[in-house]
Amino acid sequence: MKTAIEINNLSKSFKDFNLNNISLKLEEGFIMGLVGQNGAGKTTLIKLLLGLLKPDYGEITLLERNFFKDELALKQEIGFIIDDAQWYDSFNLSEIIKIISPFYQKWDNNIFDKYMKDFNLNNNQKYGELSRGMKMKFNLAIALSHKARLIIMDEPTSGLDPVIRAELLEILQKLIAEENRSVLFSSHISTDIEKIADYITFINDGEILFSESKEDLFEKYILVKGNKNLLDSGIIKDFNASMMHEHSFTALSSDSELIKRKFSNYFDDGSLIQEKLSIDDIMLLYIKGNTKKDSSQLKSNVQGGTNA
Amino acid sequence: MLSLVYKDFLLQRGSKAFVYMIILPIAGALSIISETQLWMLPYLAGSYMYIIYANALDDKHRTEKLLLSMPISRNTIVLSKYLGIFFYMIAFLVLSFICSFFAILIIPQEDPSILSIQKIIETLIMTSIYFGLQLPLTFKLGYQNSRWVNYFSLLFSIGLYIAILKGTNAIYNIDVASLQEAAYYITRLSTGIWNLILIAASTVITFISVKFSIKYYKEREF
Repeated sequence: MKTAIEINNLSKSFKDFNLNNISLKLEEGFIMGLVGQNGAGKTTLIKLLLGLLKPDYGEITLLERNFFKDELALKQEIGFIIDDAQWYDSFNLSEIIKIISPFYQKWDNNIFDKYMKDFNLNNNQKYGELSRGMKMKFNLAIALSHKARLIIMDEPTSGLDPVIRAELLEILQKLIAEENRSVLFSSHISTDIEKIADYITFINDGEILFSESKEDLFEKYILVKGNKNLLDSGIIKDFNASMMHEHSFTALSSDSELIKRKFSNYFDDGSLIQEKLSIDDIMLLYIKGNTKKDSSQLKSNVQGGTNA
Repeated sequence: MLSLVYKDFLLQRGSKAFVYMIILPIAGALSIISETQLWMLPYLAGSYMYIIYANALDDKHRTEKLLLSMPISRNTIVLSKYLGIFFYMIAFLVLSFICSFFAILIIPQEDPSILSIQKIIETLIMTSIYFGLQLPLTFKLGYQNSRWVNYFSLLFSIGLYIAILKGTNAIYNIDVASLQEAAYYITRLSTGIWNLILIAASTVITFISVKFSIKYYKEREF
């Protein structure tokens, strides 16, 4: 199977933020959701993939070609949606197309007209008069009209109402299934990612905490809730992240088999309960909870009886 | 590249366009027929507004991010700005010529002064000096950080132009033999040679400016 995105040891340093040794892989025909809180490094990673930033080191291979060697040729096959960049409000849609279409060798006006019709957009509308959802659809129509094989989107659903969000996600899912395109899709709205992504990459504080298929993720990870008394047995060291509450704790492990086997007696007697897992829970525990690397801190928190 | 120039011209629509596509060329035409020698000032003001307005809107919408995410090289974006200014210069000169032509038709003059080759070449050299300085700074610093520098480089260019006009008269009054000799030699050059020298100087300045602009723009991150 062909690879749509392969990133190896990508790093970029800023004065107050570092993206550290990012590596990930996405096969062609799949959707990868890049999830993380605001400021985690999602947009930085996407800017690196679009050539808007230059990495300090690392490799980017898109559609099996080195990005830095074939940047312009590759961009012929990449569609994008950037959250904070816009076309001009005073331009009508046909004027925008007149400006950008000459740069794409595979631009097809018939395909563009078809999507404009499907998305209920009119060439004479001014860009500034479009709602945020319509702007997203217009940008998507552009990406599809030059037959992009890879679509990179930064926060495409941010700021959209739930109905439009659901509609946009449905469109995306349908388009990917039809044409075997690949999508990298960043969002801080984890439910959107959960809904359509085949792979989920969680980025936090400039580092990738995991990048897995959604199936594997929900199979491997386990979220449990237990009584605080259990902490005396040292149970917490087998979990990747945990959070203390007044009388209980919540913990997350990336090895559900091990947890179920090792603590079967606690599950049997009901002192440990398996909770329904969501990406929100994973994000919350990794960001707000105590992770393995600060377990010493966790110990002091537990002894002091404070919330993490 | 032409579609990027088209974009910058489309951005000029609105009330501001009225000022520098109509009012300023009229001012230019009036300066031409009255032979005040300051006819280039409306042109410099107009070209300054043309590029500043396009850059301001690019900056406001962060459109450069969109353009650079497309299969457009940074060289193309840089060259399109220079080409846009060249087109604006032609448009301004044509409009000024038309205005001065009609003015002379309405009020006939004995020795009508309309747009000459000399004036076109002066415009070319001033354009290359002003934008030769302004554009590399804009590509290096971005629109926001270069606004004031650009404004002062416009004032510098206007000052330079006035100084050149004054200087050519003053040079004859300097009591230094060698300078007078140089001035005498220069004035003996034919107009054709002068024009060629000015065109060559303008080309060299623009070429160096483009090189710096491309270098700076390739280093920029967005």
